[in-house]
Amino acid sequence: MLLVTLFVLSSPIQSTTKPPAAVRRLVSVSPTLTEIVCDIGACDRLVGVTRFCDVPEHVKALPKIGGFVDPSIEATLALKPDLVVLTTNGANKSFTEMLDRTRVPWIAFRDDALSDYEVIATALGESLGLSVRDKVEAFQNDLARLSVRLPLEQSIVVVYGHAPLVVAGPGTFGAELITRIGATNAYTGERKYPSLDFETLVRAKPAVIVDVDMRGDGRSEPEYYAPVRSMMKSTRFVFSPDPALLRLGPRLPRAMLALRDKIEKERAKP
Amino acid sequence: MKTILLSASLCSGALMLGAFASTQGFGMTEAELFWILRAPRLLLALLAGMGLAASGVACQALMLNPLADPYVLGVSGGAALGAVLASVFGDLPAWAMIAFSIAGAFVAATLVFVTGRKRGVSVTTLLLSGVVFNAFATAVITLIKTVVSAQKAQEILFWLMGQMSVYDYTYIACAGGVTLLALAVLFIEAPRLDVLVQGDDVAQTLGVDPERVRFRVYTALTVIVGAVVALTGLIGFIGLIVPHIMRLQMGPKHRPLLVASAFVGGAMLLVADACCRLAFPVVSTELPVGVITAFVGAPYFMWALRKA
Repeated sequence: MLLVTLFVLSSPIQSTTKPPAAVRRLVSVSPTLTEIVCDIGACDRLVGVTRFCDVPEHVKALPKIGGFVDPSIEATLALKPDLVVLTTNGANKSFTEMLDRTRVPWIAFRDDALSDYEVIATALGESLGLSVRDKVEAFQNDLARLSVRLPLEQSIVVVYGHAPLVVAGPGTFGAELITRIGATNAYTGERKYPSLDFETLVRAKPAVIVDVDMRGDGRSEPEYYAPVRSMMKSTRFVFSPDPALLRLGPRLPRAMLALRDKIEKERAKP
Repeated sequence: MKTILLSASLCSGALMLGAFASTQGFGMTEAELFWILRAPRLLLALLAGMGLAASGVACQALMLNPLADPYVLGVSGGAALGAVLASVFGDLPAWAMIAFSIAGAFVAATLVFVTGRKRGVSVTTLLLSGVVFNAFATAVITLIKTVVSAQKAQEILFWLMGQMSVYDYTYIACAGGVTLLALAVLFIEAPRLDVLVQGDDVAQTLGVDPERVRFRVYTALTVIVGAVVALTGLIGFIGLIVPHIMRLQMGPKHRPLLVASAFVGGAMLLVADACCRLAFPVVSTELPVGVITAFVGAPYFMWALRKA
């Protein structure tokens, strides 16, 4: 119960078992964390990752411990890690309980809001004995560039997935992107990643639909929205299937800037 | 044979224990790792396999139909619904989770039987009632998955696929206790099942009360299914194919059939679980054990149907 309560807090949650002063063998149970670990210069300490970890390219060759929602405790222990890092959105409670019982240190991070990046990078830097100030500053400077552009003053919805239609709700970095560029979120509900139907989407009357879904099913993007296109004549569509937009990693601010440019270009069209 | 299976299952997995072990750098002894990681899985696989196979024998005897098993009759679906409802309430104690699951199984069994009785206990009607109840339970579980958090929905999804990753001895002890008690009831009632399968009239002539036997056996199998499903989720085919295979070997007498099915069911799930762990390097994930039992069970069943 305590763990569940702690999981909703923004600060990282740590195991009672303390990691060694200098972590040498790190297992990452999240593609986002893998990306951050490598960005701060500790890629060589990674001994295990999830099957979804693909950035940077060479982590694909590392031993796998399962997925970020279904990590294998046995595969993790077989790598003899002295620290396991995971996100509260992914690995389940029984996994951290087993890490505790086998006395393997772990840290769980929240990775929903843009502010979570600093928390993650700082804590990882401390655990690995690395300075991450320049990385955090670079991240924040890129975000600042996002904010100083002229506001769009329009309602936007960020679409993450198609089946079901999942959009960015409050507290997510997708929603923060909308507010940082001076627009408002067309989704006004309270859920972080709500599933909507087309009717709700039409009723929300978004000026712009920003679609970052990574379908890869060969269909052209507008086809998905074909049933509602006639009802959304004034809505602009921006398709940006960039995986960097789905992770709170070091590439996110740049990807957001590129997306912002795309949105502006779309608005400028007659 | 069982000793070999046990030893292989104990040692194999992403983490090799025993003869191939190298526990240097774990900060724990090999024995500690064994008791924390491997022994609970082994116990659970044995327990679940024994329970599911024995309840399959009981179902087929009650229904006089080789297609009957707790899954087809909706009892597993009811248990799953009960356990999912319980999980929505948060971290309940082990006994409460198992109680919810058993209650769900009882509701399903009662509904199916009440429906069947009104129409004169037609076996076809009972089986159809089970199919309908399964569809209903699936719909309610889908509804629950839709409204809970994404993380909880994922947990439910993985659990429903059938899994052996329960490492909590309290859960296993609770489920094991009630399962063994219910297995004992089935063992005691087995000779009366031999009489019951010859028809109610014959049974009454021989001094067996059919209704009483049915009630006891149904209660026992419902308890077993509820307790097992609460821990492992839905694991298909063990309750269907093991009694079939063993009937060919042991004949129709229910006591030896029940004992043999329970042991083979346990061994089969033990092997299936070991396969899941051994497949890890290939698929980079631990396969749900229900996938393995379905891969083996479905082709076998199709083959058996064609042969019949």
